[in-house]
This record gives sequence, structure tokens and C-alpha cells, in this order.
Amino acid sequence: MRDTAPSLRLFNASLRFPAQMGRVGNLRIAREKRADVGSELVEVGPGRYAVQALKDISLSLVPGDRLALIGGNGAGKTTLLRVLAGIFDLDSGLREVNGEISTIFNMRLGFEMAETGYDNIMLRGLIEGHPRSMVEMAVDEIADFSGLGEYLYMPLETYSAGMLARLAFSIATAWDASILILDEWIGAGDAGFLKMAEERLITFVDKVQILVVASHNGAILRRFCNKAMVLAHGSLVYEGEVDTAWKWFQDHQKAKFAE
Amino acid sequence: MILSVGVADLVAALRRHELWRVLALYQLKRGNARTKFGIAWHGLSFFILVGLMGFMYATFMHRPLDLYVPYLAAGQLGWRFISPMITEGLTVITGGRGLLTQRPFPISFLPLKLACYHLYLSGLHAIAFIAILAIYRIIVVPNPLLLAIGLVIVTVAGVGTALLLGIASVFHRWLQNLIPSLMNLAFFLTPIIWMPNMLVGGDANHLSVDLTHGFTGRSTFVLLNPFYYFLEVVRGPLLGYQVPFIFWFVASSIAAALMICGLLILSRTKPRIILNL
Repeated sequence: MRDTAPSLRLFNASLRFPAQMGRVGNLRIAREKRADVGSELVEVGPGRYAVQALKDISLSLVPGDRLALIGGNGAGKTTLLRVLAGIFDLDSGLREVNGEISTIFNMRLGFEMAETGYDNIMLRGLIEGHPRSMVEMAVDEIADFSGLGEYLYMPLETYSAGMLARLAFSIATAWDASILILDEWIGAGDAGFLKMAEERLITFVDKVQILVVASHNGAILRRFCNKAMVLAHGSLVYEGEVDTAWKWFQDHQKAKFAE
Repeated sequence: MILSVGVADLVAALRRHELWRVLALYQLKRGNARTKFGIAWHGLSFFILVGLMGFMYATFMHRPLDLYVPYLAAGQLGWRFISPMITEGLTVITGGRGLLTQRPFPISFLPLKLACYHLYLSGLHAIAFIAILAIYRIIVVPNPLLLAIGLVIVTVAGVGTALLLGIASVFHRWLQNLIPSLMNLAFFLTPIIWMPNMLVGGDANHLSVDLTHGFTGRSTFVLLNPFYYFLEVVRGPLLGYQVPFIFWFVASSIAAALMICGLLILSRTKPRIILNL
């Protein structure tokens, strides 16, 4: 089944979120003040609004592509990542995937705090979609890398934030995937672990054929990515090299503040 | 086919049984974490409540203990599966937001996990059920084959209901406020603590509704209650009394209808569910 190379494509992808929480009655008057952040608000019925989270996005990723998503708050980065991961279906447009997708959005997804580290390794492995037998094969390697030793026999409640991050990271990077989608990088963990983590991440990312990362950290994007897209108000506004895209984004942010 | 999206979702969810079984087990443990006896509390509280209630109500209603206690315990056992599949089914999808927005997951995964959790819980209740009978020195002779069929019917109905109500309440949250209070009422309207023949006026020692006198206003009241049918296909085999065939037919028909409605609403709304969580 692996004869086709991995690819990830979007054609004119658009997506709206219904805004149904509470009343949005005065919005019509407030429309005079356009927000600098967020995506466009569209009226979909009398007094009913929707957030146009993505608008006509097209992209095509093939092996070797490492895409950085750049944009301000609410520009649509996370939404786009979730569309790419297959979590959100599109309102219009097309999504085409070849290959296995792995995602790291929430490092602590599904952790059961009252259970032991070992039990949580199994749990997270199953959540990632691996069969029990496959997780069992990876357990020792994950346990080793986490450096948590005897703590793996203790419930997660006894872990510090940094220890939790170690475990989460060790699990999240344990299996190879052909397409990897990441939302922000991990911040916790002590210096020793961060250095190990960085090396592991580099080999992990190197094994991946297509990478998509959203981050507010220019240094990280420059280091891991070879192309970039800038999002604003749910639309694709710039496409190009990481360096130039980052600079373009910075200049635009400054220009906005200068206004 | 109009059901194809829903069926594909259900099949994908069934394939992930390793995960929902583990999650159901953790949910079971979570309720009684850090307590003495741990998950045994689920059974212990059933044992204490139903054990005492059996004695009290048998006395109040002048029923022989060996008839009433197993009847009440078996009814409670069944109701404690049926009722939460509705009340917890209402929030099963909205409560799964954390999982559904992080990874692509089949929607029916959540109702399956809920059913699995309540089957585990019923297992603990069943142990308490046996203990209650032992205390009162009562012997019942269950019919294991019919019991298994009854459990399948109730489980299918439960998963279908949780899917149907869980999705409906994503779009109409007020259902989560309304239905639980109606379920409290349903508990008293359904023959669980009272016996149908106390109302219908048939043979008092006969546990299933006595229809030898034909349909009356009172027997119609009992027979119009859909919960009664689901309760009977579990309670009958558990206590070893004869349940008329019509009960099996009605219960399995409603179960199939609920499952089809659940899959239908899933097929129609699937892309919109996650956006509305």
C-alpha cells in the first residue's frame, strides 16, 4: 500500500464556525470597529453570525516539504492544522491525503492522572491509534527515553509539570509517521531533558516526510521549516521562504501598530 | 445509502475496542479513587441500598420477601443500565470535546465507551445482586442464554439512544436539562419498585404483567411504557420467569429503531458536530 508517496493537499478550502454561544445582538452596530485579530465575522441569518475561520485556502505538500504557518492570534493557524489533520470537515473545497498523519496538539491529551506512567504509555498509544501489541513493543524505549525510572510505577498525580512533559513528549515522538502536524513546541522540562528532546525531535522530524508547524517562535520555524505561509483573517496572504515570510509578517504587524 | 456515513463511523469505532475498554475501566476506577475498597464501592452501595430497600418495601407493600427482593434487585440492576444510557448519553458527545477536537475520532466511539462502562458497572451490581440473594437465602434460576440476548437488545438500544440524544443535544443543549428530570419520573412510572400486577389486578405471585383479563386502562398504562419492555427482557431471564414473546419482539424492534435513528442523525450531521461542540 506504500507505493504512493505521501502528500497533503487542499483545494479552495473554506470553513465557518457557527457562533451560537450567548447573544450577539449588538454586533451589527459594533461592525464599525473592525478587529485586528480573528477571522471575518459573517452574517448567516437574521442576528446569526459565523466566524469565517478559513477562506479559499489551497496548498500542496509533497515529501521534503516542511511548512511553517505564521499568523497573529485568531488568524486561522490552528483551524488549518485541524483541517489538515482531518478533525474538521470543510464547508467547501477539497482535502486530499496520502500517508499516515501524526499530530501533536495537546501534549497531555488523554492522560489519566490516577494511573501509573506505564498505564498512561499504553493509554496514549491506543489513543494515537496503535494496536496494543505495537504499544507493548515501544514501551521500553519510551520508558528509557523519558528517564522517569521508578516513577513510571507511580500515578501521574505524583509527577511535577516537567516530569509530565517528559512523559508526554517521549510518547508523542515514539512512533514514525509520514506526515507530522504540530501546534507550538513544548516549553516545559529541565535543561538536560530539553537538550535530549531537541535531538530526538530533530531525528523525529527528519524521519517525517511532510511537516506542518504553527508557531509564534520565528527561530523554531526557521530551524525546522523550508517554506512558509502567512495567514490573516482566515486567508492566505503570503507564501514563500521562511525568512522572507517571517520578515513580511513582522513588518505587517509593525505597520498595524503604527496606524 | 443514507446510513452509510453513520455505519462507517460505527464500524471504525467498534475497531477501536481496545481503547474504549481501557477508558471505560479507568472511568470505573476514577469514581472511587483513593477510597478504601476502591471500585468495590459500586457494588457495595448497590448491596446496601437495594438490600435494605427490598426489606422495607416488601414490608410496606405486604409482599413475600422471597418474591419481592429478587424482583426489586433485578429491576434496579436493569434500570441502572437503562437510565444512565439516557441521562449520560445526553452529554456523552459534548463531554468528548477534548478528544474529538484533538484527533480524528469516530463519533460513535463515545457511546460505545459509555455502554462498556455501564456494562462493567452492571457486572459489579450483579455481584451485589448475588450477595443480596445470599443474605436473604433466596434461590433464583436464571436463564443465561435469554439473559445474553436481553443484554444485547438493551445494549444496542442504549448505544443507539446515546448516539441519538448525544448528537441531538449538541445542537439543542436544553435537552440536557429537560430529559434527566423526566427520567426521574419514568423511574416511578415503570414497574421497578412496584409490581405490574399490583396495578393491573392480576395474579400477584406472577412477576410479568398478567394479561389473562385482557386489556384494561391500567394494563395499557403499563404496556405503553417502552422502558417496561427493556426491563422485562433482562429481569425475566435473570429471575427465570417466562417473558411473553411479544416483549422480546417489541424490545428488539425499538432497539433496532433507536440504533437506526442514531445512525441516521449521525449521517446527516457528522461534519457539523465537531464545529458545534
